[in-house]
Amino acid sequence: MSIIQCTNLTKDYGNAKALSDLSFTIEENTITGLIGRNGAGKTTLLKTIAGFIKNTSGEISVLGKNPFDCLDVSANTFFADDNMAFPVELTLSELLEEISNFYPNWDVSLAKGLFEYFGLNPKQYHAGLSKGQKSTFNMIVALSSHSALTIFDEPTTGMDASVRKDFYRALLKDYIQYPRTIILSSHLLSEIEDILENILLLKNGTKVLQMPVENLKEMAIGLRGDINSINMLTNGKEIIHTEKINGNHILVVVKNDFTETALQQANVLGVEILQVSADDLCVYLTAKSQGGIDDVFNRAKLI
Amino acid sequence: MNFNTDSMKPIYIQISEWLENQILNDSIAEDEKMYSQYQLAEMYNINPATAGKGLTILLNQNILYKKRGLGMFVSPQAKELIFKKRKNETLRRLVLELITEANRLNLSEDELFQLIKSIKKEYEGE
Amino acid sequence: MMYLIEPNSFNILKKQYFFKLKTNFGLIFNLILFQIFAIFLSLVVKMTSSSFGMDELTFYVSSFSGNIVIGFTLIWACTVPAILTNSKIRNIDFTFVSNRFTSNISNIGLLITLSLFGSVTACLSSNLIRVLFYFISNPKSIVNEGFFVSPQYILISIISTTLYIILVMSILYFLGLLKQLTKVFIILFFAIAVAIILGFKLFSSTINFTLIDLINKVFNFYKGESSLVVFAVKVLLTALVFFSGATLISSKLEVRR
Repeated sequence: MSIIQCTNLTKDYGNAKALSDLSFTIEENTITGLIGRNGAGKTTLLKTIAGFIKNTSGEISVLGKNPFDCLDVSANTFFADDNMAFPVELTLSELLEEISNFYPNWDVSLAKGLFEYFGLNPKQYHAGLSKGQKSTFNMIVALSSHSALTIFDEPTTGMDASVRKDFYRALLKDYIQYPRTIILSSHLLSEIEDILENILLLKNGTKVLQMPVENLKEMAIGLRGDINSINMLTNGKEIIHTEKINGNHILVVVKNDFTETALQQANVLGVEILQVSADDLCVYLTAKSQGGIDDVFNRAKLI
Repeated sequence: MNFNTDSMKPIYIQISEWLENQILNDSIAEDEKMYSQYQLAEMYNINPATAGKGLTILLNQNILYKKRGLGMFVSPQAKELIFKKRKNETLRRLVLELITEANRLNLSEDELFQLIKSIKKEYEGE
Repeated sequence: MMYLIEPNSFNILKKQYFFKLKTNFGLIFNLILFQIFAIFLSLVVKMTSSSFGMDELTFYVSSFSGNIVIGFTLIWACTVPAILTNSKIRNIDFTFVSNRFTSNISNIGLLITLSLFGSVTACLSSNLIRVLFYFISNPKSIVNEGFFVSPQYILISIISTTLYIILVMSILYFLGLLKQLTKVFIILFFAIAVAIILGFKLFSSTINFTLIDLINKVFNFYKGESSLVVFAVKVLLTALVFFSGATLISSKLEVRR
């Protein structure tokens, strides 16, 4: 069952198109990673799904309804980002209590356990927390709400590595116990790719791809060797990324539709076969040019 | 529980291989219940769907069978199937490497077979 | 398994209302501060001061008024909608469960509750002032006329003050939300306002209106009303108009952070 359905979703801010003709579906009880560069439209998309922002055109349906100003969607969705608005006057423990009133599925023991585990002070005020502590608190609230649709927008801002690890583990464990639909946007794909099921990759407000993480990892392959051999192997194929190594040697990233024999041929030619990490692949797919940042320096050389 | 993140093999394949090993070394017996995708997900810190894929591979190869509502179980012939599969795969890979190297050295087909026969004789002679 | 929650608007409204009561305690704190200051002023500031005398006897009479407290309460009432319509505060609703309708209605509920509370404390303050006077100054020098207040009087004061506060709050709430809409609308609004002012001056020869007259007329519409019931109806209808307008505006607003 689709929890979220977008068709030709567009959001304009004046002249700038934050989202452009975006179409995709998100199924129930999955963890989807929303990946893309800064400004790709991730936050805009997530806020539109959460009903905070109204789309300019196209259709969006969350839990069967348009999410803007919809109480049904609001009651079943929790949106956590680093700008979450909390009342200033309440302490953290008072906040937890008040928030639990809004969510019938609220898990008291989970909230309490996580709160104590991360060493937060119940008498403190939200405004007085450090960035990492804020993110931690927001995460605790988001998980404990057990909302059918839980959205995290860059949830690990300010968290140190060990807290991040714990967060992903907590997310996974709670998801296994209480399956729900989760969308997670992050810059650190390498950290979260194991707990993701699907990836939705955005570039300039449009969808580049949406597929299971495993497929993404197998989608491309890196070939490193001398230019001529590489050109032979990649004749007619779409090149995703090129990098000059030294002298005659280059590295290319292409779609992995080679047969086993073709790969053996690469061995014969002395071309190295490399795996492309999902992280890198997403960077290449959303780059402006094939050569990446090296182009800047190459151009400088020409001048 | 950790797996090799640098490995070329997708995670779900690593999982299925690990499960095969568990079957081979009798950690899980025949007709015994196999780990669920959720248990595997927790053990390996991965998404349950990914773990499920690993299980599905074994299911499709009849190494596991499904009991409705109860989960997946190890087939009686699981061990044999795994042996056969590994034999085929490993052998195949080795042969491919041999052929590749032979081609590189410009060996003809006859020369290659001669080589194999003579080495086999040496090996069996010992 | 996660069962989808089917929210009930009224339920959510109730929850939001009580939530806001708890979290906007600071507003009541402000009110108390304003009123304490006003009470102090009431004791000190002489409303009227006159003296009259004949032969060797001279009377000095000063009158004091509890209206200062009500005035300050009205000033406080002006700050409340500005705070509530501030986007940071508004956005808190959307962190949790809300739609624009419930957010607004619970705000309005809060405003009315605060109006009532402010009015009660303001009117009872006048009693407090009398008590304080009794202890501060020589009781013999207090003129009894108007010193004792009947319960009916207090009740009427409370009701009418509440209504005044609601009126003020409704207008400012509407304006506060209007300001949130877009900057364009603010400019448009001021343009229209200026046009009206100028327009009236231009037409003053034919229609014989001046701005002062207009303001007076509006004031007297409310203030000059002698019947409490009719006054209540006027205020409540006006408030209804402004609150409805505010609700309409808010349904267009996005949640920006």
